Amino acid sequence: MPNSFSVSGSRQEGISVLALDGFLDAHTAPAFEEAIEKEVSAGHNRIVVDCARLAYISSAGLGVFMTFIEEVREAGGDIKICAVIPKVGQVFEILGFNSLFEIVGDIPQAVARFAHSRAEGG
Amino acid sequence: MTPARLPWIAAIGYLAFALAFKLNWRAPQDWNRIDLPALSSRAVRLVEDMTNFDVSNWTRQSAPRMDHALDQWRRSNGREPIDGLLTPLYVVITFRDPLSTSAVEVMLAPDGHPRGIRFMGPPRQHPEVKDFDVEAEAALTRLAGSFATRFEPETGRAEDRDDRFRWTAKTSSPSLVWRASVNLDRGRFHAAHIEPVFQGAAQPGRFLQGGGYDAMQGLVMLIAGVWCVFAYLSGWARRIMDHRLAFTAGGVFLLFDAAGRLAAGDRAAALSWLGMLVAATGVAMTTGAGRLAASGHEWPRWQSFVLFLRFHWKTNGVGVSVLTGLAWAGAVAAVPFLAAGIFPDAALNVATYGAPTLARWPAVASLVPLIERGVYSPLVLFAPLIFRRWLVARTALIVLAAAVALGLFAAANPFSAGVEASLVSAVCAAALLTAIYYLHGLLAVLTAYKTATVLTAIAGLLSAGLFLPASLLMALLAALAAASLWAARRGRHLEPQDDRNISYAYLSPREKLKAEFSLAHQAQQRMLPGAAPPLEGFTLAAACQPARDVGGDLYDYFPLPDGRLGICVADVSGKGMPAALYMTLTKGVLAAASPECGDLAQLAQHLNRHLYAAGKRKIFVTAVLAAVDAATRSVEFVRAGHNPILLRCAASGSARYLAAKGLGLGMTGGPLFARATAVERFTLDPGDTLVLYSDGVTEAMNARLEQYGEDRLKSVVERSGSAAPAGVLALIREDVAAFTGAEPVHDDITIVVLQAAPNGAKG
Repeated sequence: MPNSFSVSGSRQEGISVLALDGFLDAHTAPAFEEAIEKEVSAGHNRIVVDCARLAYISSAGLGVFMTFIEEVREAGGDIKICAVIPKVGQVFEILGFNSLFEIVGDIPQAVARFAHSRAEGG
Repeated sequence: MTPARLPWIAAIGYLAFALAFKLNWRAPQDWNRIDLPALSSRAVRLVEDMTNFDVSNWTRQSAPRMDHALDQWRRSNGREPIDGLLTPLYVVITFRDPLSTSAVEVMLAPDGHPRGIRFMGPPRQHPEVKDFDVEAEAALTRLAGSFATRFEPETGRAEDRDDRFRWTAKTSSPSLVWRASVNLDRGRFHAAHIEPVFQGAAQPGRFLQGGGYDAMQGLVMLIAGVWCVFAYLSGWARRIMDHRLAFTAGGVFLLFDAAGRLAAGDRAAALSWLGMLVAATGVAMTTGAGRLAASGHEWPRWQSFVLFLRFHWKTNGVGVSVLTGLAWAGAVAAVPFLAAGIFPDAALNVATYGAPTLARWPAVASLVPLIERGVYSPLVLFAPLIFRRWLVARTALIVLAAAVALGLFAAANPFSAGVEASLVSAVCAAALLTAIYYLHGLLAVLTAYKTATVLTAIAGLLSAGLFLPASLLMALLAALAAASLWAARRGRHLEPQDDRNISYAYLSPREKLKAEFSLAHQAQQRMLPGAAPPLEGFTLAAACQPARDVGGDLYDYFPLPDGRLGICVADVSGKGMPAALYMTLTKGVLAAASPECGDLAQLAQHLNRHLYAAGKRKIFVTAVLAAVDAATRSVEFVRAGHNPILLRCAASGSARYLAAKGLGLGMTGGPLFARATAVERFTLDPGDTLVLYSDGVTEAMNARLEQYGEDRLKSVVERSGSAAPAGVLALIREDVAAFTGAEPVHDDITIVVLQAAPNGAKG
């Protein structure tokens, strides 16, 4: 059962938005990892992951978030998660992602949170 | 098939063979009149008379031959004396000059009447002839005797040479004439013989007449040989071949083969290097085929054969296989004789099955075809296995292989003449041996096939009145049966470990990797606690089923310093080997830390620290740690990013999830983890059930990509009623399996069920 998964990237107000679509599991996690890697190596450390079309996430998918979070935070950025469907949200919650990541309702909110934290910082 | 049935199979098979042999063994007419020493001196005199050549000091070898076409003709014709000029049965005596390449072949009827003479080797060593016409007439007189005057020179010859002579004589039937020919090749005596010439429709099929069998066998061997050489040169067979084993086995076969041929008087063939080379390659290739077959699901059928080739003769498996083969041998031996009953034209193949009764050491000579085919038959039968992968794609090669195998069975038939009889018997034998292969494996097949040949030889010797050689062969079989019975009863039983060691050498790199994974699977399963530790007033049940060979799930029990029992269910992120390695690490850290950590929060932080350092955040572990106090039935638990635990209340029959706040292990440094993870407490009432599980249960998917989910889990646990933990566990697994149906399992499934004793007994 090969699950379909895709990542599409875009830039909004200097922030990278990665939209996930489909099933994020051990087989598809490398694609997501590659996408974040590309952003980070390009110096884009402020990343919003749009989970509106993410239908399923496994532990391997969660591991991708964990791989990069400290690196981007040390570089002054962050990974924010938005538009999570309830089923995926439950997985995040079980694992305790809520205490590690900022999870918000939609992309504008996430972008606004970046602006907010920059204003706070500045 | 149970060993208890073997005596019945043996009894029925041997009885069938005895009856079929009694009814259908057909030794040719005059068979018992053959006196080899007398014929041999007669041949020496004949050569001297015809050519003034002395062959008395040459080595000699004799073989009976049967002219099946003439035999058939004689049964329905033959009224005048001249019809009996030639007999269907005759003996070929070959003289070889030990010092040169010359040889002389003399063909004589059982009564010593000459049929022909032929010189072989370089013509300059043949006897000189002065007066062609006189010598030719003299030769005709010697061959035809009183019938010489009935022969008339043949007219209209294709080649008109003064050194070639041909005559014909009519018989009582227009369908047969005798032809005499003398060849005085440019002044050297080459050949003189009389042969039957069948006219028109009376011409029987030539292929299966006498030499046709040799040609067939030669063709089989040629195809097999080319096959082997090609496979070897292509590098592919070379890679899968166990050279040391192959050539040891080949050497042993060859020694027996040479000994058998020497015993039969065929010194030249015993020293034939070409034959040895083919035979050695044959054994090597058989082993190669075995190596390939053994790597797949055929291994159980090949195991005993490989053990046998590796000289592990004292193992139980080899003993059972040989005994089974011996039991089936009667049935296999009966097949050609039953077929001969259907086809009255079938006659004994004297060259192979009759000749031993004329040999100096009949018992040894009987074994020659056995040893010869000992090399070739497995080769031909199982060569297709070497090319299994190609054969799947190339039907034509399958057909070829099947034809070659059938050809071998046809050639190994005690009867010759009559293509129908040969084919029917070959097809039946092939079917029977295939059934034995699937029921009992390869060694049983080979034993049955070889023993059938020995049984035929024994019966043939007995029918010729040769009781001593027959009893020698019977003693040989009895010794084999006794030895294999001993091995079957007292021999070493192969441990799974031994089996792996032996079979491991036969695996391809891919198969080796699979075998290693299977070992890893066993190692990992052994890491799980064997039985639940006793906990006063509680019952425990647990299971861990990895989705692949190895997985990242873990459950464990660990005593805490304050006397409570710790229970852990953990799940490493990701799957397969990397997850398995972290699972091992988690177990190790848990085992090392639990005796020193008084409370669960401390233990969880300890685990987090180690996994955070080792995993570099990319790999993390979710876990539920619970501590059960048997005396008070109070339970403390930490949920480190793991699925909530499920508590079923016995009094109300309802269940609920308990989800303390918590964070996965190894995701973040100490302070945040400590803040985000809480220890919660509750008390179990008598009969209450607690279910700890991994996400493999709730995330199990069906064909429509739906997840099993927490609701279904909750509902099945509520329905479990008064079931004990093992029952609850089984119910959950059945329910998940019914939900996913035929869909493959994607994640490891781990479940631990804890239940307080229903009667509230605390002891």
